[in-house]
Amino acid sequence: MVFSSNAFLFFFLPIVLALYYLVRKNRTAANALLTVFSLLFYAWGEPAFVVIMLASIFLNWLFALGIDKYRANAHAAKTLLALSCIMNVGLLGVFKYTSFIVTNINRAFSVNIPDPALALPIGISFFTFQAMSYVIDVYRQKGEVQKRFMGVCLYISFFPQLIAGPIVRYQTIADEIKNRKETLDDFCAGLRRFLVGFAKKAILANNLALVVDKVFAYPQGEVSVVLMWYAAIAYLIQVYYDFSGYSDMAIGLGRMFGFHFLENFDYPFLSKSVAEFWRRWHISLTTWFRDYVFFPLGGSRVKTGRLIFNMFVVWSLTGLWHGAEWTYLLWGIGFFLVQVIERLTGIGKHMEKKWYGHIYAMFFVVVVTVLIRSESVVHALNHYKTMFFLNDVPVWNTLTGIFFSEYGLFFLISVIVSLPVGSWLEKKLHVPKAASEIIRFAGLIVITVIAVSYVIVGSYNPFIYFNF
Amino acid sequence: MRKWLNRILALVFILFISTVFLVTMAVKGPMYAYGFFKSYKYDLKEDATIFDNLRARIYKLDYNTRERLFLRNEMRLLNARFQTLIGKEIFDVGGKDTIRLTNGAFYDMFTQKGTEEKMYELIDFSKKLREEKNIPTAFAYCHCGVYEEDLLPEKYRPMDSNNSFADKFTKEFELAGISVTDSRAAYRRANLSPDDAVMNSDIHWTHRMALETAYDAVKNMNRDLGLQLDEDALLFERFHDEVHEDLLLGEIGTRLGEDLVSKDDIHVFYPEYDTHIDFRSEKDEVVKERSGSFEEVIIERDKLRLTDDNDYSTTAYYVYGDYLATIHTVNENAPDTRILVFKDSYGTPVSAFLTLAAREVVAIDLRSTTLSMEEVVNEVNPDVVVFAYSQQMLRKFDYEIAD
Repeated sequence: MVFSSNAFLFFFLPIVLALYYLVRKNRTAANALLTVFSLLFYAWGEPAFVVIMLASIFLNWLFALGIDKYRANAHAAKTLLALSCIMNVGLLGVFKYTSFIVTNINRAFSVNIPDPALALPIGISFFTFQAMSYVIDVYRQKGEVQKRFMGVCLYISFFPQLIAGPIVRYQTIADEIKNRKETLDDFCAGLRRFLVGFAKKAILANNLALVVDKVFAYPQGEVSVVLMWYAAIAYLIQVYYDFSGYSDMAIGLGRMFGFHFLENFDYPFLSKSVAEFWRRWHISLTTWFRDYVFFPLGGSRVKTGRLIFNMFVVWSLTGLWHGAEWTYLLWGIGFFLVQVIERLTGIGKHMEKKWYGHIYAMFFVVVVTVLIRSESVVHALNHYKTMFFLNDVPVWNTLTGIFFSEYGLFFLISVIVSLPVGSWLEKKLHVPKAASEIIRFAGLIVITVIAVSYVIVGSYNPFIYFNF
Repeated sequence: MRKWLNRILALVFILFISTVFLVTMAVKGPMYAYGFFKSYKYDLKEDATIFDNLRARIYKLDYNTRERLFLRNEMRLLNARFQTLIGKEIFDVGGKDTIRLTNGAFYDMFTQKGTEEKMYELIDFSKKLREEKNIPTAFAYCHCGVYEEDLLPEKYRPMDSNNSFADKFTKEFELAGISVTDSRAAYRRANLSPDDAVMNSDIHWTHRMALETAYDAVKNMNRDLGLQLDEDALLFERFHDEVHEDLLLGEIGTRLGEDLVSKDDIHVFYPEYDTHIDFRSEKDEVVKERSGSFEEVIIERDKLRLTDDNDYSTTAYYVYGDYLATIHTVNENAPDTRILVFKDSYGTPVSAFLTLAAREVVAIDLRSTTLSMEEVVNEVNPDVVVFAYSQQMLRKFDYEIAD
């Protein structure tokens, strides 16, 4: 189930809220209720995958219990931790990477190994990383082990963050699984946050998706240079609103049930270097890789060669985490290369002090992101040829005009809203705090109505996390 | 202050979603229950697993939440108003790219490029039928939307692949030895105007266009396949034209609202000459049988009734029968040929008119059955197979041709 659907908005949400607040004083019942509804939420997409997720949760619960029990025996605890990591990576590998590996082996060695073509369980990368976070945090004693299966089950399957993140670290909400306090103000602030994310997804991301999906599907030759750039930028912004919209909704929903998740985005388009961009974009993923992969590999306080290796591992994995395709791997490697250059030459620090750092960072991010929207590397190369005048296509054509006139407004609003323009204007114009609050409140009411209307009418509403 | 504004916002929103939920359940609850407990199984195969069962039930619930929600129409209108307000000419409502044609009608553009996989599957299947079972095939292509090039405003033409895709597959079918009838040719032959051919408020074509296409299809099958079907039975001049003015507000009309889209007249055509047809229809395990004239057994007048408390009908297009029903007719006065028609909602009136030209017609929409085309052919054992399809059925994959 997705948040921006009638089923979630008008059925799932009112029912789960009503029942939760009926039983919330009994923490066990409240957690059981959230767990059951989370499984139902997941089953809505594909019921069979619930079994896979439950099996993963169950095994991770056992591993954590074992680690806690044999903590005194460092070797045993470490072995259990290693086994749990192998199991989790293996699960991800089987479902997500088998086809990729088989296809490439067949291609490289001219053999014909049958591709099992396993369906990818929705959100497997998210829940597997959360499961790993649980076991590792228990091992590192950064969170208390859950004696009850339901506690782990709720942490991993909790519907607000289940299929599209943010990746909630166990240590972040370990206490709140047992002891949390739901307050009226938290509930209302959470709902407000949910509505902001909902509007981002239903109005901005989905309208930009109309541009992106059409333009990227046109045959080569029909897309002008300007239209290709327009679609490439629109795609980056679409992903931002889709992803940050889901994160807002997840953070808001969590708060409505008394959970407090960490932020996942921090105005990434303000960045003046690529490294800064990744400090502001999908923060829960970058910090996960930093804490669970980069630091264990030695981090940055190592020799240059080792540092480059560590960064290569992290960014290759980041690419592959997003999707089992060469395009994703190259996307990760692209970010690795530029960050190595930024770090070794000091150009990153230099750019962060200059206004043109914005242009540099955004140019690079837009160009690299074309890779993950392309069907293949060959398609991506074709798109690059168009963008950089290497294809025999016009700079502008009728189609370009249509896309600008039809979707230009959404594009413009999307750019403005992705930057802290509102706060800047309020400060510049000395808008009184009360007036500012009322304007924001009225604005939120209006965009909520529009967003709800878009969802009810069944407008284009792609789910872009299937690869993740 | 923010605290209080947040409280007001939360109160309003929670009241809103709860009201929509409760009213929907109060009014449409039985339909949800019917879908979840009963009709879900119509889509299930015999060897369905427990997960197939769950999937089918979830699908029904999901479908109902999309189609039967309280305030749905009001929200559609509001959304269309919003899109008008911001100056959009392509309306994205219901996941479609809808624009106004130069004659004022609305049209869902084909902005996504079509895949050709289904087209070639159909061609292969036709060859197989001809070679293995000696059953010839015909294609009655039901074009929708744009019958004249200048109907589509010039600047949108690069976005729309409707005509180019239609040109491609009619040509491919012809090359494969299939008897092809293109409704665009029927339109020109009958000297019709765009208003005669396509609905203003609906995605469908008119029944007149279906009649002319059925006539051409019969003529072409006689010519190409050596059949002896009754062409004269489908001459337009031999039909009553019963007009119901301003009756239909079709799918596009309900999507965009009456303010933007005017209602359509519905023309119900039935023969002036005497007919007698034995009719059997089956849908969701409900069987209906009747005998009588074409007008009595084929025309479903209850589809012409006004919808709920509105001054329009949303179902009048289906006056020639429910497209998901499997229909078997026997017309003893027609030449002894058994036609199997694979049809969609566009092809439904075509198959209805074909009952006048052939002894037996079996018409089926593959989306209403778990059988593949091949299995249906084996069951019906026809003299000829007709695909009466619009373009959408060649771009979709939710039905099976062969196992």
